Amino acid sequence: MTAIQPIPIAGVHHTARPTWKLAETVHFYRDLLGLPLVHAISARGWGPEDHADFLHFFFDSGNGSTIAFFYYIGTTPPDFVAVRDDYRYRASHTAWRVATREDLLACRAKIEAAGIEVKYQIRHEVIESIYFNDPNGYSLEVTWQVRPFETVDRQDATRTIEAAVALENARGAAPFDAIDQVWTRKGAALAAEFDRAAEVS
Amino acid sequence: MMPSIFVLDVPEFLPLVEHARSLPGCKVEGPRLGYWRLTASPVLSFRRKELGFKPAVWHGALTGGLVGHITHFDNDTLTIEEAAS
Repeated sequence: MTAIQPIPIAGVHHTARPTWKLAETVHFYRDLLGLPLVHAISARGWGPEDHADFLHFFFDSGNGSTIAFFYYIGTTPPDFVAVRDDYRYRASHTAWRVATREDLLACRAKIEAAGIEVKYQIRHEVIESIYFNDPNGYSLEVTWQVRPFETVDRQDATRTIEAAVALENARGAAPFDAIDQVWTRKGAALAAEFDRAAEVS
Repeated sequence: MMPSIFVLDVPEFLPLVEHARSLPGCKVEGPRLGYWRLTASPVLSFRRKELGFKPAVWHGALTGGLVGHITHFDNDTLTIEEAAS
């Protein structure tokens, strides 16, 4: 595998989603979470002929990042943006970073004090997170990363994803329907390498 | 082949290794290539609460790789046996 030179990016500038709740969205991000409103575009629709006039506004989410929204004036939400109570819908979310666990807990306290429901607090492998929703139904997460990613994490990620890609590519011949298949495929490859490494050490 | 699992050599998964050391008949090898290998015969089994794992980590505890067949895996217990040949 050849290491490729990454494109020269320097972190998140903004993510953006549409809203049909202008006042509630501004109140939530600016007044309840305390993210400064730092930029607002207001424009006639342009580009596609049916493009509505719009506002595009940005809240500062720290470290040079922003979270942005579009408000399309005089429109109603299309079906494809309807909020669903489904884990696959919640897969699209924004996760903000905090530096310490104390900051994570402080975020939770501030969010709850603002009357926002914290849905979960979950300890994952290398992160601990709280989860809540904005007025649009979009999922938000605040996360503390316990330790930095190391070489061993990158190598392990490659092994996992390569095993899964091989299974996905072989779906014409065999179904890919359980994570056990990834673990088994990865384990078989690793067992051979592990034994070889023992012989040379 | 005796059932075994590979455990990535990182802090969040080390309770698996530490617990395996206390199990009679469980072989612990490594770390090599960034992994520990835990092997037991005829069954390799763990209980979540003995590991102190929260549910998210528990359900991904085999992400390092597996040699064998999972015969039981619920919210609290995990059993791996030799794969049927």
